[in-house]
Amino acid sequence: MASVNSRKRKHLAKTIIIVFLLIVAVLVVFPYTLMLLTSFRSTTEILRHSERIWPINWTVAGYIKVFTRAPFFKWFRNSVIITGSVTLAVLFTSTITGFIFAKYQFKYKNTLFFIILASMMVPSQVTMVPSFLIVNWLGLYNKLTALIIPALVSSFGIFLCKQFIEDIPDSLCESAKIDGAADFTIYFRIILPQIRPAIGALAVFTFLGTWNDYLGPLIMLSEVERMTLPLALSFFNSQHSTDINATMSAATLVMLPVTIVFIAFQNQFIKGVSLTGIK
Amino acid sequence: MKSRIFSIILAMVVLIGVLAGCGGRAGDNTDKSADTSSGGDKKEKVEIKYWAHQNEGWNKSHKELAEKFMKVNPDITVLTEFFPYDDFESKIQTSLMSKTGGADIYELWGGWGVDFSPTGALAKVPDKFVEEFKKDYFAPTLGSFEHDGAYYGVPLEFNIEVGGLLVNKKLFDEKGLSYPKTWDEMLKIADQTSVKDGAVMVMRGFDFVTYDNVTYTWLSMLMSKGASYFNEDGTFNFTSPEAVDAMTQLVSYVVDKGYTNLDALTGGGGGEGHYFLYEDQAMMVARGPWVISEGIEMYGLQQGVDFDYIAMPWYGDKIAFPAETGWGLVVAESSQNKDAAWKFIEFVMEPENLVPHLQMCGMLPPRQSIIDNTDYKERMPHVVPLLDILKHGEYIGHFNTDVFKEAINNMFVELCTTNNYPTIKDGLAALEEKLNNELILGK
Amino acid sequence: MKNNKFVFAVLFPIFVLVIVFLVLPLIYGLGISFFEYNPLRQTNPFVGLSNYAKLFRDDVFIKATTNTLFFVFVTVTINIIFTLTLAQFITTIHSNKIRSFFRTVYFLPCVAPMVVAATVWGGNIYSTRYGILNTILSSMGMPRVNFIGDANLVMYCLIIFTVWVDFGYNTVLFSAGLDSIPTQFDEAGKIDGAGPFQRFIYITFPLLRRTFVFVTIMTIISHFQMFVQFMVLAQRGGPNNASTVLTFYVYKLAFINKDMGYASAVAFVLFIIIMVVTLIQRRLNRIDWGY
Repeated sequence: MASVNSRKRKHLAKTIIIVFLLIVAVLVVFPYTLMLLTSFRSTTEILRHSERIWPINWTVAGYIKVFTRAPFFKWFRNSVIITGSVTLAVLFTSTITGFIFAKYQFKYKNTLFFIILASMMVPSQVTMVPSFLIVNWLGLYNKLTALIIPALVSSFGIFLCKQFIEDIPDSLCESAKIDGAADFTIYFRIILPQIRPAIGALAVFTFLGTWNDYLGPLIMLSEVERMTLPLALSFFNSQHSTDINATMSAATLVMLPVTIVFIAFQNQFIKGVSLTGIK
Repeated sequence: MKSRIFSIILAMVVLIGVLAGCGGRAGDNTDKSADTSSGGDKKEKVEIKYWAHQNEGWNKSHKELAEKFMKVNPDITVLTEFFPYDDFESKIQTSLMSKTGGADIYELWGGWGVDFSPTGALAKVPDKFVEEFKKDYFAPTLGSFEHDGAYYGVPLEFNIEVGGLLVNKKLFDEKGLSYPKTWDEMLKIADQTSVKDGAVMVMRGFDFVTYDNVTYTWLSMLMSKGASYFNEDGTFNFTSPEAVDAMTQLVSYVVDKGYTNLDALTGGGGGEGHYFLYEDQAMMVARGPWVISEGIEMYGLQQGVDFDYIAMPWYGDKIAFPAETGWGLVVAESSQNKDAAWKFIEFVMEPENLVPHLQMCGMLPPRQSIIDNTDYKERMPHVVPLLDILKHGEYIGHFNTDVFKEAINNMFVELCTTNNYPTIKDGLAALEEKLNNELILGK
Repeated sequence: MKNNKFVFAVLFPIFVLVIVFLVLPLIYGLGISFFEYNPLRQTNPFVGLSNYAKLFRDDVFIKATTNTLFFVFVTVTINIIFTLTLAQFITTIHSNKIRSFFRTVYFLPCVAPMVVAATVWGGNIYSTRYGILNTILSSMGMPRVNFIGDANLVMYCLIIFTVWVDFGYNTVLFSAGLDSIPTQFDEAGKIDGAGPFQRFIYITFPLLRRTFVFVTIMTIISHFQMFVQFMVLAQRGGPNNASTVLTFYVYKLAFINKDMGYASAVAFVLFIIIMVVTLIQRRLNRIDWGY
């Protein structure tokens, strides 16, 4: 009798938990659904019938406006170029530097690694002013490279890779060396395949951080054609008002690529994030 | 797994390569034209960049000006580019710093001129303009472009945020009301028509709450009573009986009478009062004449049918108001093509070009001779009531007007929504002290 | 291993970049903070510590600092409690598919650009005219509320938004942490007759402590750096600076008010705060949390 009761209670608790989790999931998706629906309503309809959520007259005018009034494809291209180059570069620089700090003995190793660690603690928001001045001084202002070159090295990435590479037994590298493998070959053939999970995690973080960066492009780029996608949303704000329909269409379009990438690689994303928490 | 990751990376490399390739080609184009301009073999083709802020009607006019100019000057190409207003000032600042990533000509708001003129980042205005300035231009239009006897910008307009009242003709007709001739009549209409639903206005009877208009309405009210907001030593005086009275009135219009609310200053409300007027949710809105073009361009409304723009009554019995330097054109000191840039500006300032531009932007002329220009009056009959008062405008003062207006707006919001100050006068005294420290004594 | 040539060939370019773009900005920023610095001008006078002295007289700075601390404290507290609960709930689900479904959905706002979320919340949720909250209020016959425009409400709106946009991250981290705890501990607790809540407090939580400390500190640090929602959702730190935080104030001082010297002084204060939090983390990490 008691066991039946407790089984019932357990069942009830499970149902409550599932319902709760579902409600949270709905709350997460809801604003994006609103965005999508609003992007198909004209601005006048939004203002006149604010009580409605579902469009009365479906319109793609907002999307047409985004594509015709704004260089949307150029922004997309800029975002891809910046994010792609930064992600690839960071993967390379982090793994190879992590490899060196994990497996090599050399002078000043500890001092150099301390510099990496210390620079990890300096967030870019703190150094936005001097970073801007340095980029400007180097003549990179208003060039896509202004967002690429300073981001080629990530101290977090180096730190993460070093942690993982340290776990690889030294004997693996040593024996390859005895077999006459060059250092770069060891890195490429032995180290990289072993730390695939770390590479995945780092790729996820770098991709998200760069693709979604708002402050960097806001400060470093000036011309409209050089802008990246996150800046696109303020494009339809005039001095005194906002074109809500065009803004929501732009928001949907900005959201689209990253959502597709996320859904395609959702497991890698979740695994990558979990990994950094454990390490 | 391994091959999958590899193929993803490969795909990314290819994608970037392709995209960068397209970009490279586009970049090459501009490089080539730059090459020919510096190399200058046969025909010297000069390219100048002209940056302005986004506004549909205005941008159309900027582009037309550039095209007209290029027809007359085939050796000069003018590239226009428009920026969201909110980001524009910092873009001007950072691009001027960069010396290479910026424009040759900027459309610069006069209020920002106070900061930019003394830096040496802007080119001095050539003498031939200066002669005209002295003969023909109104003092407030030049004020903030001047530094140490030299000028750094050419004013496009007389900026005026008082004296004009946007009225919803349709609603006035429906309710059988006639336009107000005195301040009291204006308040009476506002009393009859304002409707509120919680924090939201259903109908704004009389709206004056915007970034610019609180300051200008307040200062012109006290000035029209014969007072000044300056002491003789040049410091601010916000605590005269007239200043306190005027602020008390404005606060009561929001708090007690509910003619309008603070949304346009505090955000979240979806726009400024004149948009509500164009959507038939406001009766009267105090605003500069530039609002007209927005009603026509953005809302497709007709002046004289849907709305009118009339002379706003004065609070006191004197016509007096402050004016800050409005939009003007400046040339970057680092520009490689200053001559071409000034040539373009000279072209813009010719009455036959400037008058249509002023019309498109709903702006008032910076110079007396255009006021007397019959073409202008014919094109813009609705601003005629304003033209006569321009000569009463006084330069607002040589300080950063954004800091000035923001402080006044913050104090206004505080007085309307909190009990931080026992009386209005206490609040104004605090404001006076703050602004004296920041704008006058700190210098 | 040893191979100085190889080490040098790799580390030299890496450290050039690290020095120029990570180390130099900090030193440079500290240097600028002693000047009245506007790079547009030819001369920028040295003013010693006066930018720092100014901090104490600057109401907006004081407001920005208290706003920042309030925002971080409240948001992180809510975030941690909420995500820990969610993670615990998710682990009770046996189906792997459903578990990863929830994790994926919750992670969506972390993937999408925050500026999109901020724009959508500003337009479709909080707005007085077409925001869903006000639509609900007015359909219930209640007066509309200007959530973003009210100095007393705006910070809470930002906190709710920030928890919403960021909770997926920690949920995933905690739930990975919970998954890595051997189940026999929990089973042992069950046999001893402990209820689910007791088991969480006395068994799970102590085992999760390492992850907990890591997640909390990282969340605190990342929340000190938030910028987008204060610029986009709260409309530039307004009303009356009620939502101005230090990052936004630095941006405003440097790139709107053109006062880069003073902006650097404010940035340095923010750096010190973050530094202190980081050092606390390193101290806590040194404690042995072994099972």
